[in-house]
Amino acid sequence: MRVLRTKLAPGMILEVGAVDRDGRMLIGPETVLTDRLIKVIDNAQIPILYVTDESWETHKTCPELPPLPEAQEENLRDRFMHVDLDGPFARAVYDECMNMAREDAVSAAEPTEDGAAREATP
Amino acid sequence: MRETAEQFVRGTPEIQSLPDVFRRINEVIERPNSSADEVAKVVMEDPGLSSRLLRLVNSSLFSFPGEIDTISRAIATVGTQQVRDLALATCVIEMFEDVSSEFVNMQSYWEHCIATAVCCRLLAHYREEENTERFFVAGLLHDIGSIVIYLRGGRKLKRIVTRCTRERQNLLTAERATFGFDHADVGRELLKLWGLPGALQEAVGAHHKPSRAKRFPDVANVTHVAEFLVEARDLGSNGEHRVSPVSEEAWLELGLSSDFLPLLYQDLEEQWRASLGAMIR
Repeated sequence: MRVLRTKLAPGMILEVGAVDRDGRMLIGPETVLTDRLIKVIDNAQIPILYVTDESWETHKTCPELPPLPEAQEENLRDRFMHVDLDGPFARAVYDECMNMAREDAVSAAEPTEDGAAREATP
Repeated sequence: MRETAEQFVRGTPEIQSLPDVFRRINEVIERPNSSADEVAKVVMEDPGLSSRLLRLVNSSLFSFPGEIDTISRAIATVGTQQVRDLALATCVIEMFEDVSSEFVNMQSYWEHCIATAVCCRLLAHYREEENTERFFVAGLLHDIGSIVIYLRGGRKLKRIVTRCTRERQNLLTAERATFGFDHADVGRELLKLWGLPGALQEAVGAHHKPSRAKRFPDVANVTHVAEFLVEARDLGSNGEHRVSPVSEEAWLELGLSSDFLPLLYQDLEEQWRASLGAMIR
C-alpha cells in the first residue's frame, strides 16, 4: 500500500525500505514503524512510503486516496497510448503518474483559507 | 532527391554557429595552463550571460550554502568544465528564446527541455556520475532539432501537425514520413556543425532510440529515460501530445530502482520550478 508520509502511524510495517534523497536506505523493509522511526522519515522528508496491506488496514487513521474522475483517467490513458504498458518500468511510471494525479486532485479540492478550492498544479 | 538532415541544417542560415562568447570560453578552457580568472574574464564580457549563470548557480538546482555573487566564485565552486556546460546551456536558450512558432508554444517548449535537463541531472546524480552538468546539457538540447524544423519546416510542418492530429501519430513518425528524417537526426547534425562533443551529438541523435548510441550509451540512455519521465508527468510540451514509447532496456542499463520514482518526481518538480525562473525570461 502506497501512503503519504503524513498518513504513517506507529505499528505499520514497511513493505519497501525508506530511501532518502541521496539514495541511502534509512529504514529497511519489514520494519515495524514507531514514533521515533516516523520522525526519522519526517526529518528526511521522504514523501511517499509503502507499507504492507495488513498493517495499513490495522493502523490506518484516514481513508486512502479517492480514485481519479473518469475523464481524467481516460485522458491519462490516452496520453500513454503509444507506450507499451506491459513493460515493468513503463507500468511503474504510469502508476506513479496516476497516483500523483490522484494526489493533485485531492489537494485541488482542499479548501484554501478563504474557503475556495485550490487551483490544480500546472 | 530528398534532402538529408545535414543539408536541412546547413540550409538554415540563422543557426550556423554558436554565439561568439561561447566559442571564446571554449578556447580559453582548451588552452593549456589557462586560469579560472581568464575564463571568468571572458564570461564577464557578456553581462547577460554572467547574470543568467549567477541566477542558475544560486538556484535550488545547486543548493550551495551562501550566495555566489561573482563569476570567479561560481567557477571556483562549480568547476571550470561545469561552468562551460552551463554557459553552453545559457547561450543556446538565449539564441533561440525569441523564435516564434504558430504550431508550438515556445515557452512550453523550453519548459519541457529544462525539465528534461533537470531530470537528466538527477538521474546522473543517482548514478553517481562525475560531471552531472554534461547530462544536464544533453537534456536541454535533446529536442533542439525541433527548433530547426520550426524555423524551416514551412508547409511540410503543417502537414506533420495535421497528420499527428488526424491519424493520432506521434511527431517522430510524422516527421520521418514527411522529411525522411526526424528532429533527433536534425539535432545531431546541428551539434556536429557546432563542433560540440561526441557524447552530446550521440545523446541528441539517439534520444528516441538509445540502442543506436554505441560510443556513449550512458548519456543517451539517461536522456531517453528523462524525456519519458517528463512527458509522462506533462511538464512543459515539445509539441508532442502523447507520451513517446520508452525502452525498458535503457532503464535497466541505468541500474536504478523504480522505488526511486516518488522521490525523483518530487525533486524534479521542485528543481524544475526553480530552474525556470533562473533560465528563461
